[in-house]
Amino acid sequence: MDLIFQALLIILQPVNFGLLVIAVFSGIIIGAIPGLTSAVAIGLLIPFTFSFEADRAFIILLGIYVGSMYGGSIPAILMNLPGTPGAAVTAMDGYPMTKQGHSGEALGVSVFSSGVGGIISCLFLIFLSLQLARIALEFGGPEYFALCLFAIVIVFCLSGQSMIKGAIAAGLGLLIATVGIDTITPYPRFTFEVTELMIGMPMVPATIGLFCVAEAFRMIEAPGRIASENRAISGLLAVSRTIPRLWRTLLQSGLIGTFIGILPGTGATVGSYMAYNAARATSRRSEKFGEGAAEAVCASESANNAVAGGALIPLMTLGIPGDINTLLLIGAMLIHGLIPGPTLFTENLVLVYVIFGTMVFSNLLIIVLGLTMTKWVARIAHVEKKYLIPLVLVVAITGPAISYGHIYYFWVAIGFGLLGYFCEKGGFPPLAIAMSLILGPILEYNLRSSMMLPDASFLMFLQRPISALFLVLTLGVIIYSIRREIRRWRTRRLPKEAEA
Amino acid sequence: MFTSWLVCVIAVALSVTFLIESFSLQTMVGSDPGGPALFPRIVIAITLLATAVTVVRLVRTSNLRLGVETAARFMGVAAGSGDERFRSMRRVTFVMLLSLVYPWAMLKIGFILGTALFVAILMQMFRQGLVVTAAMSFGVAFAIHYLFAGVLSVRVTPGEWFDLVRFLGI
Repeated sequence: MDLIFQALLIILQPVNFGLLVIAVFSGIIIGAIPGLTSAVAIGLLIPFTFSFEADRAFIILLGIYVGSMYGGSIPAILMNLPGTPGAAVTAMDGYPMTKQGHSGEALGVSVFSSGVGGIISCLFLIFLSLQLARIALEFGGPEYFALCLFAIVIVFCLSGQSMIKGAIAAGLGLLIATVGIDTITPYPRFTFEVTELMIGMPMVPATIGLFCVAEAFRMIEAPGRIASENRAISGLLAVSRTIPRLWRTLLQSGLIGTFIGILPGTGATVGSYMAYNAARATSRRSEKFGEGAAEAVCASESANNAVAGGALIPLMTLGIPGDINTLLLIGAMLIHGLIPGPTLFTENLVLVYVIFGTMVFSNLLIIVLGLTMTKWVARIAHVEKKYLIPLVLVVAITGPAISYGHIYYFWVAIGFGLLGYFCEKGGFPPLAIAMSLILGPILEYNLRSSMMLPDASFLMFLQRPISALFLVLTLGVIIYSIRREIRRWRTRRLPKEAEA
Repeated sequence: MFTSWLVCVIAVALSVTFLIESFSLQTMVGSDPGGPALFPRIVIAITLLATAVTVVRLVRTSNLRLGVETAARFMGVAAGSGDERFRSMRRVTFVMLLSLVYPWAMLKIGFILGTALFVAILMQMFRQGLVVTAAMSFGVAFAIHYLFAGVLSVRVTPGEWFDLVRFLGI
């Protein structure tokens, strides 16, 4: 109880709470601007939190994270333009509701569903992570190796269209991660006698380059003004009649989003789609889905925000990021001298409770700010990309590099930006590269240190139950992905054969 | 198609380079089975295998004539090069090259002037007026410089040839 009070005292300090409100509101605006995602916002902000205490830095970053997960639904509903990828499903029913004159109801359902879905995932975050952290403290080298292998395989198999391209992306990330000083035998490896490469690939500029710089390049492809329909928003509070009959959908979608968030590499888009399909399958009015069903908006938004809490579970308990945003949060943790994983629960328990509390308050603030500020946020979302692009590019290139004061870090951010852009264009998932960059060193270290144990052999990984479980799951994911790949390849071949 | 080929070439180049380099790594056979070369070689093998499969698929689906036409339109020497798709490709390529020059410019003429020049070129590319360009470029440059140097107390690299901060005595 002492820890909970300590955490509450930190969050409720006027400065910290004020920053949280501003962060959630800023997150909503950022999510509402098509082209700017929570990953870009978090990536750009991380360097600015260098000088803050860890508590304050995470209050700001998590506020932005949670706010932006909701913010994407505003243009999705009003303009059929998802502000974030996770809001694409919301647009399928939210926009028809706007065209029918029920924009206020759609936005209201979205606000409540986001807030409640997020709180459901926070409950799981609080109770599951405390238990999982205790189990994770028992992990040894083989368990961490198997877990990292499972996380990397799941990302490259499921995060892109093609498993083979995912494997290439993961391979690139793993190879780049080997550059620098070998952790077991402290000799330079793959440095090609370049002094700067001795420090390896700095993770923060690399991941910010992969996602933020690359995103700025993508924004340049179509920098024009977003056409908008001038529809008045009214009837926001009509949701008070709609929400009570959607409690089953809320709960179901919140649970789906939480569990999807726990799986690395899946993210809000997958969560929203799965929740939408589940809601349609169990709805008594499934024929309304796609034509403006409030239940559909509820399902996608509840799952969308629930993913945020779910993704924090593997990050905090195992040090494995659940999605792009938590991957970037690892960078923030490392900057503040924190090691993500079970040691957080032994050495920084107050911060853990601050994170829990921040997530709960952020989701509550979404409901308050969403109901009161949506009209203004909708106006701000019309900002032209031409004004955003220079700002995003400059901050993304200089932000992670400026504090190091060496040109090498700028080149890393730009180089990874180019790599991220071309990989995304070619269907190679950048998330697989980033995940491999972060988990690759842990994977290799645990493999080699396990093999250095007395009487070690590869059989050892199968003889330990947790390690064996992860390896079996890994094999299952690979087999499923190979079958999916073959099915897709056959489907593409069939029309050509029919033509012949 | 071009980007798929490009990534495959990068993957092969990186894998082959690392494979050759891995033979110069020292291994302590008894205490560290496989040594520092084991893990990279496993990754190289998987990457090369996956790249080979992708290259075979690309070769089967590639259309060389279409590729040459696309390249010609991208370079502006064929009909249809004024299409928005090719203008967008040229725009992105230009900004990529500009981004590569930006850190060098910062080192030579300082953060503020380097950033202002970078933003000004971008705004001109978007066909903005001179007033908007000047306001955006110096506004962004000074604001971010203040955030870094003033608020975060980070040492911002001064320019070798000229530094506006020193010149203005800020």
